[in-house]
Amino acid sequence: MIESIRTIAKALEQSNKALRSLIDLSQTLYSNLDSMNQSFSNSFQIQRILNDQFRAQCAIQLHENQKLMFVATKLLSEPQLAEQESFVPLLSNLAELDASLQDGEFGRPISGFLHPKVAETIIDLQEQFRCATFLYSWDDWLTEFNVLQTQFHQLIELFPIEHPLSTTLVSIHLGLDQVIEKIDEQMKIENTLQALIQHSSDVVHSEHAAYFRLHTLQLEDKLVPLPIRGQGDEEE
Amino acid sequence: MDIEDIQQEIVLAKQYHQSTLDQLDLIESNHLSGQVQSLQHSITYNILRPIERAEILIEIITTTGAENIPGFLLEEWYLELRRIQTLLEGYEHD
Repeated sequence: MIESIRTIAKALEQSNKALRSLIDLSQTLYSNLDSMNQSFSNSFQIQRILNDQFRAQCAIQLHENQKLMFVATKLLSEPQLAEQESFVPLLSNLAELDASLQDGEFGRPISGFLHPKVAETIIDLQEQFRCATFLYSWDDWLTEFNVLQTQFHQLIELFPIEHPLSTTLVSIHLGLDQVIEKIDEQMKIENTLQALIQHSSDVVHSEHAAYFRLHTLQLEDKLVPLPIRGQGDEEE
Repeated sequence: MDIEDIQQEIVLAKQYHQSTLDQLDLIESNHLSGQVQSLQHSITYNILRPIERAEILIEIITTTGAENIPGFLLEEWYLELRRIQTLLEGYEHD
């Protein structure tokens, strides 16, 4: 039994690391969405709310994880506690966790626990994708959000639909589509404005100049300032 | 939208209208000069200018790449090209 508890404690420790890594990911997304919202007049509030929901779910999972870890550690240091009747409900929680561990990667969902394979993939995912420190252009921002979306896409594949995080991850992924679309549009606006400037020498007649000036104004009107990466108001 | 088709139509229409303008230049008649000038003005401003605009639009679209132009503007430009295209039809038979 001690050996089983030790395996469970190890799995819980790994889950803890993975959950913290998910919270870090959420923090990065929060900071990026905050910058985007400042440039796009709070157009991405839904995405922010979904990210807040994700962070809250991760925090709940982390709390559950710490409770389970406490029980496992306590049992390892004082095995005689297992014989006490008051400890039985706590033991049944660990028994359920053990069953999920035996189920495999997509086993029954236990709050605060991630299968070691899933946890390991999450940790690797965070180490694999490092977000850029400096973002000097829309192209940089596009790469940044594409990296984030790829991470969320890979996370979706790790959580079965029954898991409480699953739907939130899908929603965030869909929400990021809209952000990427807006960044893409800004890049197109910049490209087209550049093209109009380059072709301005071809425009010799005033009526053409007026026609293209109108479109230049339309484009300039839709151009938003490049976001400046901040830490978000929570960090201030 | 087939840009190459429009480009071919533009060449034909420009040749046709330029030739008409050249022929109008050759008319030496004092009592017709007002009508000739009016016709020249009409051809230049109502046909040749929109054709020039179509040429500039096509140049911008092809050099920038349609996929790099915002959707709302590309739609507007395509609409403008379609409108100008109606001025170009039928010259291939003349």
